[in-house]
Amino acid sequence: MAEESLISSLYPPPPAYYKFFTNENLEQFKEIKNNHKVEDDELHIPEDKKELEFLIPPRPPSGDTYRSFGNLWNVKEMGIPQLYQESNIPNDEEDSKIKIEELKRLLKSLLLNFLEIVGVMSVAPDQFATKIEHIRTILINIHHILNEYRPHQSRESLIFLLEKQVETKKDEIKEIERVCKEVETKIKGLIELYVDNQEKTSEQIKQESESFDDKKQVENNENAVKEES
Amino acid sequence: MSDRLTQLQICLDQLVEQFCATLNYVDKNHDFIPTEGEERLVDPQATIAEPKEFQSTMNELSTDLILKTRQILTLITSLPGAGVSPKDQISKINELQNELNKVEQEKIEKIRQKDELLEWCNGLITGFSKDLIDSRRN
Repeated sequence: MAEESLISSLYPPPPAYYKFFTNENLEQFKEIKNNHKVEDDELHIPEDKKELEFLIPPRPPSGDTYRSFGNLWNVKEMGIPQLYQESNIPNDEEDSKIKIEELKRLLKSLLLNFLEIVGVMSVAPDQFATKIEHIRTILINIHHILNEYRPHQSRESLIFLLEKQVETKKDEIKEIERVCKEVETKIKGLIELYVDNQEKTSEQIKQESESFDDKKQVENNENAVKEES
Repeated sequence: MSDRLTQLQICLDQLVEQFCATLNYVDKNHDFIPTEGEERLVDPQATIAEPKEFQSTMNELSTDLILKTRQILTLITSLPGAGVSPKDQISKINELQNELNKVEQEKIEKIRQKDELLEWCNGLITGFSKDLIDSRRN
């Protein structure tokens, strides 16, 4: 029972052998592969390295069905007619445009077919099955186009993310520049103020008694101002 | 917020659910209209709605269907990257990647400059306080 609910949950946990795909194991596997130079499933894995067997990729399904996410799928087309047009040259710039237009067309067909099923039900309720089948075909076609669009959207999302990152970094640079500039101007102002004051006080001190240290201090500050400019 | 395609798939599911709900409502609540010469059918299990209420609910359900369809159409129109070929996308990605690296280098350089300024400030403060202490002592 627990097993069953595990399988039917939306995203089943990864198979236990994913833990064998460590960098170390991958290296070892590569080495074995390079040494033997045979097809993957004829590789001889040493007895003490049995877990490396999991690194051999499985063969593509040979029968008509395969398993994915706990469901059984048919390899061949399930006899669903394709209702939309495709671009003659795959992956050109018209491809996405055509898909969008076809989606709109299919959506309108879907709505019309719903209207028709309502009509059919009111006149001959027993003949609903064909209309249901039509709606099903349209929906499968729509979902197929949507899934075909995914890689295109993913690339577009990646572009968006990259643009955002560049933008953030540029902002950060600007912010650093701003703060640095602010600190510099503040210190410059302070030093000017200090030097002015210092000159006055040192004059006062001079009047009272000559102080060597104060003079040095003024020099120091002057040097600092020079250095900065 | 999820991406456009997932939103579209969710909306389509909702649309189909609305189809179902609409049919279900009509099925459960419609009145019987006899054909000529027949007696009016009575179904004790059906809850026949008032004609006025039935009509307004029908209007409401159809409006919902139209709104959902419009929403889906808007989503389809706003699918990202229409009219851009994968080749252009890839070159754009590479370009952005290079720019990102460049900006990252620039940022590291700025941080270095900032650290220098910090160091300079530190020196200034230390020097200043030392001078201050010295002058106080004298």
